[in-house]
This record gives sequence, structure tokens and C-alpha cells, in this order.
Amino acid sequence: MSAPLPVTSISQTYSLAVLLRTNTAQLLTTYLKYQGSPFSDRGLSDHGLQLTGLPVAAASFCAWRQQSVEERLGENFKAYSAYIEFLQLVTDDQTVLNPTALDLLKLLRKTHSRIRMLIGKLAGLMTGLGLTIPEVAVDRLPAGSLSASDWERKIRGYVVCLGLTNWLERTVRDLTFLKKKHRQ
Amino acid sequence: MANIVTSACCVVLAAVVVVYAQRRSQQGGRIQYEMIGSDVTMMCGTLESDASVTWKVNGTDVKADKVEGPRLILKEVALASNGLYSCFENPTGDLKDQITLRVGEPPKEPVVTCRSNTYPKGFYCTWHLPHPSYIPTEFEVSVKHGNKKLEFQKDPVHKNRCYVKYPELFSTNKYKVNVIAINALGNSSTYISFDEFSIVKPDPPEKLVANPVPNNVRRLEVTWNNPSTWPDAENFPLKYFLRYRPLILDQWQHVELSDSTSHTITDAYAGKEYIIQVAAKDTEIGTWSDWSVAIHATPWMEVPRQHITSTTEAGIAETSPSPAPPSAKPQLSAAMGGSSVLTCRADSL
Repeated sequence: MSAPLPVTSISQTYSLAVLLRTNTAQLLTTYLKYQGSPFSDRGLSDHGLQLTGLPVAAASFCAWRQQSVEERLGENFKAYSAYIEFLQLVTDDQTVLNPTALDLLKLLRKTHSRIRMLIGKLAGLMTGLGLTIPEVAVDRLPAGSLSASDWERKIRGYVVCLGLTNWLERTVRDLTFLKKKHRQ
Repeated sequence: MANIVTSACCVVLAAVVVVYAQRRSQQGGRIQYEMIGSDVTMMCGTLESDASVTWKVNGTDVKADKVEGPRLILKEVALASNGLYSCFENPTGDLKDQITLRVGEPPKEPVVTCRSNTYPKGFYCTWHLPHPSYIPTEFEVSVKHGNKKLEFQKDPVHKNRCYVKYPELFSTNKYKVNVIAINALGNSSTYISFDEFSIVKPDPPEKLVANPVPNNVRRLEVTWNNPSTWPDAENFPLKYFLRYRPLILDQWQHVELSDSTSHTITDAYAGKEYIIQVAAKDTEIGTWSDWSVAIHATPWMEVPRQHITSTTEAGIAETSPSPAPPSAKPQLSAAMGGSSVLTCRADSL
């Protein structure tokens, strides 16, 4: 029972990732707009902020290039499984911090559901290729997440939104890579 | 490997020390740097204030009313004031000192631009002064990724250019480049920051060729190569923008293409000479390249049977490629170990 080459499936996942990339770029801009200074200032830099439990997209070229198909899809799957939870947290935070920012809240929810779709597609791809879907720990948010200050919540949302845009750049490249591979 | 094994750029600092030094010696020349428009005093060695000296500039006498003891005073110097000033003690005529006057200005903020035409390998930055300073000016460059200092290589061919390898891909950290311009009259600096993706701009496509299609008066077959500087078109594919028009019209036709380095124009006006260009862009990020060198081509024409004297040779397209444009292409292969292809050791794929 050999799995057929999932060319269509990879293409569809690629298209979704491209759509999400535009989506998340818009989300980042909209998010920053509503948080006030210094988030809404020009030339904002993240200064290498990271959140515990939030996967970082950055990788050396060689490490990224040398991944097996299983690792490549697996890393994406794990990353977005984590982001889904952080996104929900950011949505909850923003519902309190910026309740009248309806476009932001809508965008957060739309992104959330599309990421969910992406996770589904990635799982489908892995199953179709006979690969093991990695186990993802439930409840990955760091302790104390719910009792953060307003400032911490805003920073957290920024890191999540920014990190998401970078993950999608990486995912789009990953899927391009896989598209080429499976065309052979 | 993605590891950075390049030497840090610190040659500049040594030159800075030289530029600042105004060694005072009894004999032998020294250089005196002064601002354009300022009043300048030149001292003849270490002579007493009641000494009497004669000054010459480039061998010609300097006007006496500008002399006060061992001092020569020049008002509102201009570039024309530049020269080798010599002073001779009276009445012996002994040469006591020689000063080269160089008039100039402190540097204005350098203009700095960075670009990646070799994504995902690295990027280069270039800088220049917006206005001349007229005196030797050195540049000190530093590059940071987030808070981490990055090493870079000076370009072996282009002055005022350095090359940086991307330490990692898909990074949220911005790159920060600081360029300080320093000369004897002052210094100024420029700081720019950007992310990995925004500076990506490939070089234009190469070897653009257009051939007529036999027996088809409205077609031209166009092919081109990827820019040779783009390291991995397989995994970082380019898309293309083709534009063409007959020489006699101003309006361009445009076609955007992915996945193919050829295209057949099917709506050419019969018998008309066309001008054709192509540009390239990474399919996902960055901006379009500059237009390639333009080529000229005319669709196939039937050879008229009766006219022997004025023959238009059918089937020969005028592909007159201009000499390669003096575009900003860093000569990386020599510096980077003989290959512009991306490699990783133990490439399992």
C-alpha cells in the first residue's frame, strides 16, 4: 500500500501558507497599531526577545537545508501546535486590553482558524507520506502566563505575532523545497 | 558551512591613526589639514616669534603681508590654497620647514545601502560620501545581528563595500549596520537597520537571447539565464518579468512568469524590430532586480523573391548584446573559496 505522491496536497498546503503569510503580516501591523507606544512607533526592533515554549523559526542554512522530510514537516507541525495556544492567549489578552479593536480581534480569530487548518494539512501530508506525526505536549503555556501585567501581555503578543510571520516565511520555503523534491 | 570564518575588518583603524597624526618635526614634510573657508596659520618649525622667514608655495613666493614672524597666515582658504609650503630663514636662506596644506571638509553622513543578491547566502553593504571631503577619509564599519556583532569581509574588487554571511535564516532579529566616516577634520556616522527579507534583490537575468521562429512573422522565442550570483535557484526559485515593445512605440508589453526561463512572444508586429528586457525576483521576498541588458530582435520575415539588391536576410535576429553592464556584482568567488554555490558538509539531501 504505497502512498501516492502528494503533489496536490503539498501545493494546497503551500497556497495556504502563502495566504497565511500575507495574513500574519497584516496581523502584525494591526496588532502594533493598537498597543500604543513604543509598539506603534516606527523602527521597532524586537531585541531578540523570546518566549519560553514558543518555537523560534531561525535556523542556520545548513541545519535547515539538511532536514529530512520528516523533520521538516515535523518541525512545522510542532511550531504551529504551540503557536495555536499562544495565539489564543494573545486573543484573550487583547479582548481585555483592546476590546474595541474589532478588526484586530477578528484578524486574530481568522489567523487562529487558518493556523488550525495548516496544522491539519501538515498532519495530512505526514500521514500521506507514511511519517510519524510528532507528539505535542498539551498545555504548553509557561506558568504564570495568566497573571502577567498589561505591559508583559503586550510584549508577549508582539513576540507571538512577529514570530509567526517568520515561521510562515520558513514554512513557505519548506513547502517550495518539498514541491521540488516530489516533482522528481 | 554557515559558520563565519572571515577576518574582522580592522585595517581601517590603523589608517585613521595615520590620518590624525600631524607629526611635528624640524625637517621633513608634514601635512596640515584645514577647513575650506577658514583662516589658517602655518608655523615655520620651532623658530622664535621674532624670527624672519620667507615662505614659498610650490616654489613660488608667497605675499609678504601674510607673514608674522615665523607664521604664515592665510585667510579664507580655498582648494586653490593647496600646495607645498616651504619656509626659509632670513638671511641665510636655510630651509627650515615644509608643510603640505590640504584644504577640505569634515565628512557628511555617509550614504549606506545594503542588499542581498545572493540570498540565502549573505548580503553586502556599500557606502559613500554624499559630498566630497577633498581630503583622505576612512570608514569604519560595524555590523550587528540583534545584539551580536558579525564578522565581514572587505570586497576585494569594490572599494567601500563589505560582504556579510547570513548567520541564520528566518530570523526575527534585525541587522544593524553602522558606518563612521573619519578624516582629519571630523567624523560623522550613519546607522541603518533592516530585516533579512527586505533587502533581497537579485541581479538581473543574464544571456538574454531572442530568436525568430521560422515561418512565423509574429513570434519571437525569448530565453535567458538566472543571474549567476543567485546561489540556489532550485530551492529559492526566481520569478521573472519580461517587457518588450517595437522600437517605434513607447508602450511596453509586460508578462510575468514563474518556473520558466523562456517565453514565446506571439503578438509581435510583423517586420518590426523589438527591444526586450527581463527582470527577476525571488518568488517570495524582496524586490525586483534591475532590468537586464536590452536585446533587439525582429520576427522572421519572408525573403522577397524579386528584389536582389536590397536583401533583408530572413531569420537573423539582431541580438546585439551590449557589453556586460557595470552592475554591482561583487566578485565573490575569489574571496569565498572558489564557488558561489551553497554547500553544506554531509549534505544528505
